[in-house]
Amino acid sequence: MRRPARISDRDPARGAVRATGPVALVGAMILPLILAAPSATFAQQQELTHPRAMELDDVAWKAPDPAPLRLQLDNGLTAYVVADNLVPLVRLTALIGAGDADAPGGAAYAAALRAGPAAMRPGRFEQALTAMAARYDVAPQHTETRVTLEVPSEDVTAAVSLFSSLLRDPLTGAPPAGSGSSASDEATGESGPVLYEGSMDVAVMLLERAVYAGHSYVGARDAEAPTDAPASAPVSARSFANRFVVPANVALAVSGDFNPAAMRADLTSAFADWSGEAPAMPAHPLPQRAARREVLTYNVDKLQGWVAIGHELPEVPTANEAALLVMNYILGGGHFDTRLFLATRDRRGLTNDDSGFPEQGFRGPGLYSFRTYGRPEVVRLLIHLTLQEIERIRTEPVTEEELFVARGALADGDTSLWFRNGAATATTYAREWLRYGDHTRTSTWWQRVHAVTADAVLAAAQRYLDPERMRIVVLGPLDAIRNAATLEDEQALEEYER
Amino acid sequence: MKLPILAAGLAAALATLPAPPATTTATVTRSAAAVEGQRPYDLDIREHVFDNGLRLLVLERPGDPRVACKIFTDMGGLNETPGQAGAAHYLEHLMFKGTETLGTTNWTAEEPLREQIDEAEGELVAALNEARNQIVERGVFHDYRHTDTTPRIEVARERIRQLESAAAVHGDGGAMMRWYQAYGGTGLTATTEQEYMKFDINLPVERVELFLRVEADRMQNGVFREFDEERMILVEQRLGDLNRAATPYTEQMAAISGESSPVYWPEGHYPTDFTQYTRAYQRQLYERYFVVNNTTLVFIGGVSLEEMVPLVKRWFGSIEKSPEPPRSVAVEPVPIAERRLVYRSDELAPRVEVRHAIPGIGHPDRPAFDVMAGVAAPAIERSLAAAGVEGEVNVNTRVIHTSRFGVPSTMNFEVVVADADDLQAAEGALLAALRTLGKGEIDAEDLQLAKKTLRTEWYRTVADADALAFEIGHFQTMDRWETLQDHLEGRDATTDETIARLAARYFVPENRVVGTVRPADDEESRR
Repeated sequence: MRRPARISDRDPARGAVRATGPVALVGAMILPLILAAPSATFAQQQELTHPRAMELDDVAWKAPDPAPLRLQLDNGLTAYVVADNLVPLVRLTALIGAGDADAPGGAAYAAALRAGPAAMRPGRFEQALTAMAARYDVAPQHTETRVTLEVPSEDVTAAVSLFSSLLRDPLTGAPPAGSGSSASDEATGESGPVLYEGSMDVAVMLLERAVYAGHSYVGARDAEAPTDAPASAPVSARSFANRFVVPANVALAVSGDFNPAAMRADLTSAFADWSGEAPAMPAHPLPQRAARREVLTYNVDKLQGWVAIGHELPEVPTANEAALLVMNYILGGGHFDTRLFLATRDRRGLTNDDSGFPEQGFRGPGLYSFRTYGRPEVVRLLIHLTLQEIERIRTEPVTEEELFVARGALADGDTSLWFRNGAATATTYAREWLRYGDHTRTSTWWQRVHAVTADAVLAAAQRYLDPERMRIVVLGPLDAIRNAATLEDEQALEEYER
Repeated sequence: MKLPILAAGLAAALATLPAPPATTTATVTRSAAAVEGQRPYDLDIREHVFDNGLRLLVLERPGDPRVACKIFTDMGGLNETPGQAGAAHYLEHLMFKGTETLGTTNWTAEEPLREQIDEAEGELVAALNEARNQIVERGVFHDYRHTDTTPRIEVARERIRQLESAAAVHGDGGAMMRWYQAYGGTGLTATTEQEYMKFDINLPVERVELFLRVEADRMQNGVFREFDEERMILVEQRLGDLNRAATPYTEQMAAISGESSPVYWPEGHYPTDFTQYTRAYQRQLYERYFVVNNTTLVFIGGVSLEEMVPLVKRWFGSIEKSPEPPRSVAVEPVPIAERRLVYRSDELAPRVEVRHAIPGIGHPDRPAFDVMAGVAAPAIERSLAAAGVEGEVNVNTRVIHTSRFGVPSTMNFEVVVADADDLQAAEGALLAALRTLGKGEIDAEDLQLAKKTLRTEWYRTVADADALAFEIGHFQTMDRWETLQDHLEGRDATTDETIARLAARYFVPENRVVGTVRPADDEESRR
C-alpha cells in the first residue's frame, strides 16, 4: 500500500459515533445521510463515514509503457511480449485482423484453427493439447479472429512451434463447429424458425439477424451453413487464410513465465520467415436502417420469456467513445446501480437482469442491444420499462452523482482490467496496435472519461439510441406473455410496434 | 480410445511439425513453486486473529496496484431449516439492500416505518398460523403462484404493502455497490452455497479501506428493503434453473445421494418455500451468523498484514464478540444399500451415472479423489471402447452445483450415449472400469497427466487473485485455510496404490447411487 487512506476527522477509538463525517467535506448530495440520527441499536463506537467523505486517495497506478514490450519483425508481424512470473504458465494469443464477415471462408477458417496444423495427422492436435494440459480457444468475430493457447511453461518450446504451425498452415477442410442442429432444437417461430438453446444468446442472435438481414455480417455465416460446408469449406478456408492471415494482419500477445529476451528471440525464429502481402481490408457498411419499430416474436414452451431490444451501432469516433460508454454505464452497464436495474429489478422484482450492450464494430458497425428476461406475466412490463428508461436518458441530463460514479468506474475500474496481468496487458496492446497502429486510445482513456459532461452524455444518448426504430425480439411462451394481466402501464405486445 | 500422453505422447503428437526454434531458452524458473526452500504450494498466507474473533488472512503481492478483497461468513444452506430452504441465499440478496447510512435518503423518516412493517409482519404470521388448515398446499407443488389466502391475511399483506411504499420514498437503491464502483472497484459479486456466504470486490490498493467501511456496515446494520420484490428475484433465478433440461434430473440424483444433510437439497430451493420467508426469520439468521467471530477477511494484492491489521481494527475492532453461532449437526449415516433413479426425458440425451459417497475437504483421502477423476475418465473410455459402446464420459465431484464440500460429497461418473439401447452395456463398462482401478490396474501416464492437469489448473487459480482469495476463504469455511496447502500436496502425492485403495474402499455397491436417463417412451419404459 502506498499511503493509507485518511478517514474521518474522528478516531473511533476515542468514541466517535456512526455517521459523523465532517459536513464541510461533504457535498450537498449526502447531506441527508449526515443528518441521519445515530441509532442506539448498534455498536456505539462503529464509525460509518460516508464513502464520499472518506477522502480516498487518487489511484497512482499507470499503464505500462507499450514501446518496450513491442517486438516488430521485418515481415510486418507485431508481438507484445510481457513477462509475468507469478506462476509457471505461458499464454500465446494471436489477433487476426479478419473475421467471418470479411470473405467467404471465415467460419471455415476458424474451424481449421480448431482442427490444428495441417502438418499434424487428424486427432494429434487434440492429443498434444491434452498432453500439455493446455487451454485452447478460437473466437471468430465479424472482422477479427482471436486464437489463444495457454500451456505450462515446461511446454513452451513445443507450444511456440505448434502455434506457429497452426497460424501459418491450419488444417483446412474441417466442418465449422457448432453449426449443426437437430429437429429437437427447433421451436416454432411466428417470425420464422428458431434454434432454441435456452439462453439470452438466442434472442440476441435473432436480433442481430433482423438488424443485419442481407448484410455481410449475417450473409457470410448463412453462406457457410452446414449444408454448404463439406464441398466449399476447404477451398474458401484456404483462400481466406492466404488472403488475410499474413504477418502484417496479425498481432501476437505473448505473456507468462519466461525470460522476455529469450522469448523475443524464439518468436523471431518461429515467425521471421513467414511472408505474405498486407491485404486490402474490406469496410462494412451500415445495414439498411429500420424505418420503424418492429416486434418479432418466437414461441417456445419455457418458464420465462427473453427480450432483446436494439439496433445497429455505427462506428464510434474516438471523440464520442467515452461519452457513449459513460451513458451506457448509467443506463444499463451490467451492475446493480443502473437505471434499468433499479427500475426493473430493484424496485419491482421483475427480472434478474436488464442491461445494455453497446458492442462496437471495427471496420464496420456494431450492435447496441438491451437484454432482459422474466416470467411470462412481466415480459411486457419489462419491454415497457426498458423503452421508458432509454427514452428518459435521451431527454433528461444525468445527475452529478451518476457522472461521478460512472467516471470512476470506467477510469479506475475497467482500465485496471485491461492491464490486470501480463496476459491482459499484452492482449490489450496487441489488439489496439492491430486496429489502430498506435496506443492513443489507451493512453488518453482516463482523461477522456473524466472529461465527459452531462451534456455529452445526453448527446451520446440522442446520437446512439433511437427507440422508435429498435427491433424488439421476444422469445418465450407467447400466449402466456400476451394474456398476462396488465400490471402497470404496459401495452399489448404488438402495440410496441410503430 | 486411449490417447498417448505426456512427454512421449507429446513428442509423438508433434513429430510431424517443423523443428522448434533452435534458440529456445524462454522458460525461466522464477515461479513460486520453484523457489528453493519453499513447499511446492507455499502461498505465504499470513494470519491475524483479533480479540473479538475476527480472522484476517493476507497474501502479500508487493507492487500489485490492486487488492482482491473478500469477506466470508461461515453460514449457508446448511443452516436453514425445512420449509425455509433458500433462506440463506435470500439473505445474501437482502444484504444488498443497504444499511441505515447507505441505501436511504432519510433514515430518521424511514426507521419508524420499518418498525411498523415488522409489527405488521408479526400480524401476518399470526394470520397465516391461524389459517394454517385453510391455506395448506394441496396438490399444487412448487408453484410460485400459490395464492390461497384469508381476509385477515390480505389485510395484513395490504398493510405491509402500504408501509413498504411509504418507506420506499426514502430508498436509495444501488448504494451498496455504487461507491465501490465509483472508486474503481471491479468484480463485485456475492455468493451463497451450503457452507458459506461471501461478498467480494477488487479495489485499487489506495482504496482498500472502502471495503472495510462498507462490509463492517453490511455486517451490522442491514436494512431489508424491497423484501417482496427481492423474493421474486429468487423466483426468477429458480425459473432459470428449471428451464435447463438437466436441472430436475440432477436434483433428483442429489436427493437420493444423501439422507440427512441439506447439502443434498436443490441449489435453487423450492418456490413454495419462498413464500414462507419472513423478515423476522431473516433477521434471526443475520444476527446469529453475521458476527465478527464467524467471519474471515481475505486480502490478496499490494497490501501487507502490518498495514491491514490497524485498518481492520479501526472498522471492525469495536464490534464485540458474539455467542458462537449454532452449527449444522446433521451427520450422514453410513450407506447400506444401492439406490437407483430412472428419469424419463426426451430433452436429455440418454445417460447412466454412478455416484459414490466420498469424504469432504479435510479428510486425508479427499485430495486423491481429484486425481481419481483424471485417471478414471480414460479408464472408462477404454472400457466403453472394449464393449463397443460409443459414449461421452464425464467425471466430477459435484454435489448440486459445487465440487468441494467440507461435508460428505460424491464422486460422479457419467456416460452419455447416443442410443438408449446401449445404456445397460454402458453401465457394465463403467462399473468394470472402476473395478479395474480397485485392482490396481492404473495407467501410469493417466496418473501423471491427471496430476499435471491439476497442477496447471491450480496455477491458473493462483494467477487470478480473486480466484485464489476465494479458494482460501472457502477452505477456511469448509475446514481450515491451512488445509488448502495440504490438499494440493496430497494430490501430488497420490500414487497408483492410493487410487487402488480408494477405489476398492469407496466404489462398492452399498455406497452407490445409479441414475439412468431414458427416453420417455422407450421399450424399457413401456415394460
